[in-house]
Amino acid sequence: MIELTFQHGTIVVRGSSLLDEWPNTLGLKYDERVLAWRGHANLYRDVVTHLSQQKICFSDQAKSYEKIQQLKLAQEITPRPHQTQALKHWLDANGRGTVELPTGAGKSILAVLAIARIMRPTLVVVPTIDLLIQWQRLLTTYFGMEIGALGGGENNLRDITVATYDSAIIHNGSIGPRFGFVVFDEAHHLPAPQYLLAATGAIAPFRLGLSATIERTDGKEALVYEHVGPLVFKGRISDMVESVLAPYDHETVFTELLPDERMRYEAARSEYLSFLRKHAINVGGPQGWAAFVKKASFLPGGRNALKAHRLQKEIAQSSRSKIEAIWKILQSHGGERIIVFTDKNDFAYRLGTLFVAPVLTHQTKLKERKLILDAFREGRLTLLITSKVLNEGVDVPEASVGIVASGSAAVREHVQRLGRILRHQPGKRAKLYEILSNNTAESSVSERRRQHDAYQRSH
Amino acid sequence: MLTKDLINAKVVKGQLRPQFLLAEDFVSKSLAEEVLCFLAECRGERYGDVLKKGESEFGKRDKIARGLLNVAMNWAEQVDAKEFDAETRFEWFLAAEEVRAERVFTDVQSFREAVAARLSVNDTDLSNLLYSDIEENRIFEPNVSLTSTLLINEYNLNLVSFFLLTADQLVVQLKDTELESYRSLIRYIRFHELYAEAIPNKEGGFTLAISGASSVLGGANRVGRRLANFFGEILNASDWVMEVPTQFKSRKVTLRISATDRLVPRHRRTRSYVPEELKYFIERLKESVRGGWKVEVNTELINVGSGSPVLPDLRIVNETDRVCYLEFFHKWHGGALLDRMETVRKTGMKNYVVAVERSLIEKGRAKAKIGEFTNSGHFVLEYRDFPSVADVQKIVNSMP
Repeated sequence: MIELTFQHGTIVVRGSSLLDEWPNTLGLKYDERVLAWRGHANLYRDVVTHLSQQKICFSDQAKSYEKIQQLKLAQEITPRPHQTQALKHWLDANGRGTVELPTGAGKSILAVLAIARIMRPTLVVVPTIDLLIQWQRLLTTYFGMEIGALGGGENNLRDITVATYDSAIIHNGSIGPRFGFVVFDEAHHLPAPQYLLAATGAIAPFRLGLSATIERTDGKEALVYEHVGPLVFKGRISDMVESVLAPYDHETVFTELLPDERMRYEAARSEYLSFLRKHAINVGGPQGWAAFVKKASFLPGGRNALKAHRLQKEIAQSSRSKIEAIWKILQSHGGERIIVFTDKNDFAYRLGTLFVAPVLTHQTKLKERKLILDAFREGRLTLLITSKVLNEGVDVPEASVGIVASGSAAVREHVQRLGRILRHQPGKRAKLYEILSNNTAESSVSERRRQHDAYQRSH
Repeated sequence: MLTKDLINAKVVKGQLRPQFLLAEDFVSKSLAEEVLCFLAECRGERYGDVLKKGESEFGKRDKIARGLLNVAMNWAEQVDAKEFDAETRFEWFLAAEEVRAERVFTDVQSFREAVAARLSVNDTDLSNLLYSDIEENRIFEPNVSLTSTLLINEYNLNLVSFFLLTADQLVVQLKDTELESYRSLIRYIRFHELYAEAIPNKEGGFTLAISGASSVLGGANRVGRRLANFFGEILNASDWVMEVPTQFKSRKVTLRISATDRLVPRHRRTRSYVPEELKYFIERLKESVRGGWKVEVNTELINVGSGSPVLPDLRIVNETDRVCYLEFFHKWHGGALLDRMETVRKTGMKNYVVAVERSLIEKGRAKAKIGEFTNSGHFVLEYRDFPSVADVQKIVNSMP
């Protein structure tokens, strides 16, 4: 008889001969070390389906979960039309698929509806601890039961558990066979080599990927579709503004570098550019940046060119006049909830120290994060400064002003930041400021990051 | 950990040779001393400042100097600058919030002065204390136990780890003929969730091919990290050669290092403890066994198809070339017993006898498993404290 077992993120199929064709066609490989067929755990569904269809008798020792018999929503949900549609498409795809919805359009509620429908032990995988706390709170509200947590110092497995990507990977050996349904929040992270194991190492036959920006510049969203399921539904920001998202305005504020900053900026930029010219490197082209870093590692002057690039970027991103500009914006939006985004932690802490304001970075401890975010939601604090940890997913509907003090050229980062202030609230009109140092490379960075349909419409 | 730009290695005839530093080499030792002196001088400074200072002092030096600095920094600690807790910080935020709400400040400086006055602190304390606990602001404390010799060894180990992190298998040739020393190595292989296959080599020892569950599948896996963590155990062997297929500068190469590279393990492994009673019993068994049987102790590593070789305590060979293996499980070996029975049952080795101390059998899980084990035609020898020679004789005689 064929026997299926789970081992360290893989499934092992014993009892099938080396000469059998079917394991090969399903993507399993013969492992001579254990004299059995082996494949990534995500092949579990295909293997079981094949064995069942072919009426081949097998003993399933891989799966260590059962259907949850008593799973009911503790709170009624009236889904919005796009949520109903997305759920239908996902169910039609046999419970495997990816959904792209703008921030604030109710991706988490869609996941709750899917969990209630599938009724299998569920693991929700999230990229940050803030999101872990947020999901745990939301799932507790809707299911009225204890929700497990894995990550941020917690190791409490329950039928519905929220884990960070890192913890899901570290504990893959024990949680891989434990859940029948996995929800990948911010699924665009999944193709990162260190994160992919969260998908390949789990046997879960049902999978849902959620993201506001599934497309990646490297095209690796195909890996999400391969390991989670195809894109089954896509909603655009432009279609949802004013129905489920707050209307918003966008303003670019240009600041000037101070004379000493300008001098240092020009010197560093010219060193960087002359290295590019000398070695005919086009950083704007495909793989251009990778080529620069590679050449800088062994060509003479490369290290200095890298340092110069870092310096000119740092000067442009954190000039002193930017600080004044931010202060003016803060003063003009008194009483409103404001989030300031920076590219680097250094600048975030510099602003935090100057404005005596809370800074959220990876260094902020769990307890303090909760304290700060709760005070922000309650309105006791109206200003939050962050580098990247609030870029994604964290739900702060009260925030109505976003100030991008500095950032990368990534469209995703910018759209996600915009998403923080677009959560719908009655009468809310959001505003996003982008502060750029005039006559620096920041202008082109800004142009590149605004190439998204959210910015293609006029406001 | 050493980053890619700090790796010092050469490829010679397809073999990757990390450029190890020698502790007795004057230049290397001086460089290590220089790094340690630099860090000792930085004691008590802000960690962020030490990073910047390190960059300006060593940034333009060669990768060895920068590598040594990187390794030494990893050994250092940071301590809190001043006592300032999150609750007090939160109170300060609330006070600043109230001041900002007044919206009467045209510039940041006047706002800060008002906040400082509200909190009854001066502006410098406001700046210094607010985020004194973040890494950059913490106080740098170099590790005093780190000597230049240790630093050089640590640098060398880091060079190897760098390549292991991206590997998915390694092959280690061990020349040790005392197989008892393999037992703990195999235990560590299992601890790190790795698989091994043992192949006897010309030197009388065994070559172990070590890999992870997903090594055969390629792609994203975490085998490299496990191999890097396990590597230290190899250093405890007396004579070894390790080969690792890897990539360097987009070329497929083999990392080859051996005991002659004189890498020192971070932790010395203690020799396996063999109780005196067991030694005595084996001696008695050797002398007393009858019927053409000969007793050999720890002489064979067997690949049983479970991904982990087993080392039976005794190999009992008959002059007609019948072989019987015997492994003892005492009351503290419950987990190992269950594993072994599972493995032996799956591979159908009927001549592998598990000798089990009776108190272990009386426990629930083992009892049920032993029932399954014997029902499938395998042999169990029960004993209290130690088996008798007669018990062993009886069971080997009943071997098919």
